[in-house]
Amino acid sequence: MGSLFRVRIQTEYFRFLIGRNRRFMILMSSAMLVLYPVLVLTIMSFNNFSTPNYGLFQIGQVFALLLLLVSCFLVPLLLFSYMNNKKDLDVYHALPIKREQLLLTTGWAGYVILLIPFIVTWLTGGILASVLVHYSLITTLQSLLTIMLISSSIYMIVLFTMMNTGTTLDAFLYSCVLHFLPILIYGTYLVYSFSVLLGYNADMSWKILSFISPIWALFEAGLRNTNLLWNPMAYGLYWGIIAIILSQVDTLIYKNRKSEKAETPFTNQWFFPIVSNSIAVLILIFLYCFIYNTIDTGKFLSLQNLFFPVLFSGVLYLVMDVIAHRSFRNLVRALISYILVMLVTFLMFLPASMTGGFGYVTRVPKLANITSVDLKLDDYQGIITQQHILDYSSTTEGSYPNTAISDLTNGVMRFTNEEDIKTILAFHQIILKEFKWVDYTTKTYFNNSSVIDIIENKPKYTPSYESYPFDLVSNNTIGVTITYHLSGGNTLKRNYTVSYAWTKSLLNLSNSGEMLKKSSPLVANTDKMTFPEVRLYDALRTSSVSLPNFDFKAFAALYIKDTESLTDQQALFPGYITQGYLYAKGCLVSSASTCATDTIVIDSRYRETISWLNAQGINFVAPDLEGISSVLILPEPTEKNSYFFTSLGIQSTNYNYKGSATSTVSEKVTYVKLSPDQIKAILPFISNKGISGTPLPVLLLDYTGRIAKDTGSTYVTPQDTSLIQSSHLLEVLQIVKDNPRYSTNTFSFFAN
Amino acid sequence: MIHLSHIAKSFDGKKVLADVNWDIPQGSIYGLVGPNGAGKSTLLRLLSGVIKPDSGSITIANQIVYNNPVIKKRILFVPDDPFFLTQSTLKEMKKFYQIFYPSFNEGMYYKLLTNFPINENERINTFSKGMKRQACVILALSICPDVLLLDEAFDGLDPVMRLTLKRILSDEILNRQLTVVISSHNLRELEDICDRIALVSNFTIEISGEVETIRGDYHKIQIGYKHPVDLAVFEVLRPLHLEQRGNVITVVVKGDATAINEVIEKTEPVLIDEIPITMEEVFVYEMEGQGYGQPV
Repeated sequence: MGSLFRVRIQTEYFRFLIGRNRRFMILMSSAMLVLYPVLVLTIMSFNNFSTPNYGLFQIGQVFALLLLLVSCFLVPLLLFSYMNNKKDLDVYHALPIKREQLLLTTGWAGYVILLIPFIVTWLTGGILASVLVHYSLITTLQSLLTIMLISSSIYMIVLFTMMNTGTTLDAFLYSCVLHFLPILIYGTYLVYSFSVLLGYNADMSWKILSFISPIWALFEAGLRNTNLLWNPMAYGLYWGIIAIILSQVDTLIYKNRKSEKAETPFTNQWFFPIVSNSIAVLILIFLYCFIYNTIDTGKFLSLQNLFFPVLFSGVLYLVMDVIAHRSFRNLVRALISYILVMLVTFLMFLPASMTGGFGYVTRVPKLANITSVDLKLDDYQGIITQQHILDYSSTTEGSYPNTAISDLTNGVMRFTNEEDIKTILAFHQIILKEFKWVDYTTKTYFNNSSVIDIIENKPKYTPSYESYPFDLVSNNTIGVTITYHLSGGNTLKRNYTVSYAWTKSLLNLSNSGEMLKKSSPLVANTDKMTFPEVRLYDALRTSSVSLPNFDFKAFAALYIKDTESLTDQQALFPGYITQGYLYAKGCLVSSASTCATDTIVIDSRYRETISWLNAQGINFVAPDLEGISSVLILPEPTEKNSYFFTSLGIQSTNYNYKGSATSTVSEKVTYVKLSPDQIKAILPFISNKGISGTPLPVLLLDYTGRIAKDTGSTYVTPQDTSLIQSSHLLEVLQIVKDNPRYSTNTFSFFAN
Repeated sequence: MIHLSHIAKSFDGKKVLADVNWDIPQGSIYGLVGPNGAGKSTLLRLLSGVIKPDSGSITIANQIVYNNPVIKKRILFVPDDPFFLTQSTLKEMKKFYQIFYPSFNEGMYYKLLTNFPINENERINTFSKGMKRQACVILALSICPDVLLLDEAFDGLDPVMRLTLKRILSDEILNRQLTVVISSHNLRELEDICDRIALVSNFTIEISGEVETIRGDYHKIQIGYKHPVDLAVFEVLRPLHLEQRGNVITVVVKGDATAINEVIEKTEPVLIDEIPITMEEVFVYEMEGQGYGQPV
């Protein structure tokens, strides 16, 4: 192998090849220049260059890359065509040059021939983009280098195919197949995993493609798309290394490639069987899983699913065999071979499916082996992670924030505390116990809400989870991703879409500081943000004071400390007096114009926080109730609407209040209208965080315009809700005992 | 000069050559003959290092040929179907060969161009089959190799050009000890130019040696009798060919002339006449003796 690296290019022959192919390079350069810079300039000229747009350049770049791709196939097929002609091959191999040197020289010449037109085009386009739209020339050069390296891999795969085939037609066909094969392998793996492996995590699916397909990487990394795991240059290096490895493999094959095999479809007897059997197996599994996932045939293992895939891949296998042998004579042998392949496939496929990927599905690590657990919840209901209010609307540009802040505020929570890990492990077991009712194989990825219905309708079904005391919206699901970091440095990641009803045990995480990443993202991310604006509101958000030069980081540290010191009961139960809210605007350190606002509830549990505020001379202000309407909604003892159990605080403004009602909840509710004095009297008994075990009265306020006046925001719907603490229920009822009772069948209390 | 030792070669399990041993002295011009599919081209491709023997060794000037550029610089293989780069001219082909063969003699090239009516700037794909062959010969001789391997070299050349080629080859052999191996089916032609002949048959070289020696070993004798003769009397000679026309018998036998004559004399012939035998006849009778080309 080492000797292969010592081979040198035959420079005279290299120059000869370049010279002989100069017309090709001129033609390809012309085509690329016309479709990239010339096209872009033409379109720009229609607007008299008044609206320069880099997007136009990117369109041209796609065309240039497409032509480069064509060259990657065309050039080796032309330059190495002698390998596919016995007479030509005799002459070339009779020449006084070592085979490896002939390959190296021709290979490099081909690479240069395909690159020169592209380099000319890319640089011309890059210089124009630099002049017209001020696009960085350095970035253009980086992209060029990336593309050059990635294209070397595409070129080497075509060359690899040529080493194993003996005709130009087969070389072209199987080059296409080899380029498509990794995508087919990954697609089959994905669709199989989605079908069989409950909990399979595919959050990197598109990003993986740039690692397995150089053509994909060429466009993704070459155009510097955002859907990449690495820096685009790293992809260039990655594919460059693969190209070097392939070049060594190609050289080894070429050294031993039998000249007499030229003009036969395959010069390597193993090439066609490996490729055709792989395709048959992959198509078989892919179609089987695809049909299972698109047509509801019930169980995963069914003959109904099998029929079409077996026929389709069988016919494909026979067609490939006929093309490969240029004859129908082998049909019977090919058919027998296909049946064997099919049987072997199912012999491997069935046990993997029936055992849940050989234990993949049921594997849950032991507590002792876990160092930490990452939890990601798509908790848009905010019951588990009670978010007060997170408003993206106040970015400087007045638009929604970019992915950077979105990722920050939807961050993954990392739990290291043993009790928290136990809670997550218990939740994981609940998921597995529930899905066991469908043997882990009924559709688990697509149409998840129906699988939960299927589970709950199973005969003798008994839930393994503790229910919420209130009703949830039917078919309400939540996305959960659990990543266990194990002591050996490994990770175990599972992704589920589960019924919201199964999640109650996760409420035990409420007193973890990590939960603040979801409920109060600004508090949890002080190291990544600056806080140009902070205000302190009263308990009803009716008045506020600005807090210039507020030390938000110190506040956040104490807030986290207070949260983590809460007992489970304290963390969960809505029994604490709301003192007020801290409103903050946080902007990313990396991008000062990318901001979000957060409104953080402070109640009597946050002792150290309150003490610190007081020590800073900051005191909560009294509510200003002028012009504010309010009602107290009084639930029936049998009420099951989550609204009477979950203390949503001002979060209720973020989504449809009525929308949270379940069909089982009575449409009619009883309420009383409150005077300002009554509101003030009730104020010490309201709570804005926690979940109650019994339905509690809800204080509903309408202060339309008040927030708008204070913050300039027009996004917030002016409705806040607070629960009455159960321990003060009688006192509150006493305050409103003489108020007339009203009844409504909607929640539009303030509509009239 | 060239030494083949125990060479064997199979293609896809089909035996083509087995245990071939052959020595080609420097300055000789060897004719390689044999029936279709006997392995002549395979032997030339092995000699030129295009393919690797399954076993045995091929050395030229004591060096292994396969994948050895040093020795391959001294060899030129001209296949039966001339090779030219796509859309190339003779001038471009000259450049191509000059890259690989430092021995390429430009003077010789232009001298040969005067002998053959070819325009070096014309595209070769517009040439006739004969002109392509001429172009090939010009390039091959301009390279000035020590060993020239010609597969069906005269195929497509008109008689004048054949003669010219023969002359040039003879000059080259005389002037710089060029070794030539020519495969051909045209034994008459080979007989004229070659000093040695090798017959490839039954996966090996059955007969190899100087033309005159080989020819001297074969005897074509016409024998006249007064009365009809039983042909069985000639079986002891193991004739390659036996033909009876009335009382005249024609027999082709291999071996010592004196011993053959003794056997024939015993049959009391009235006339014994040895007719000169051509190499073509030697080839035909040898092959017939092996059952080749006999009607089923």
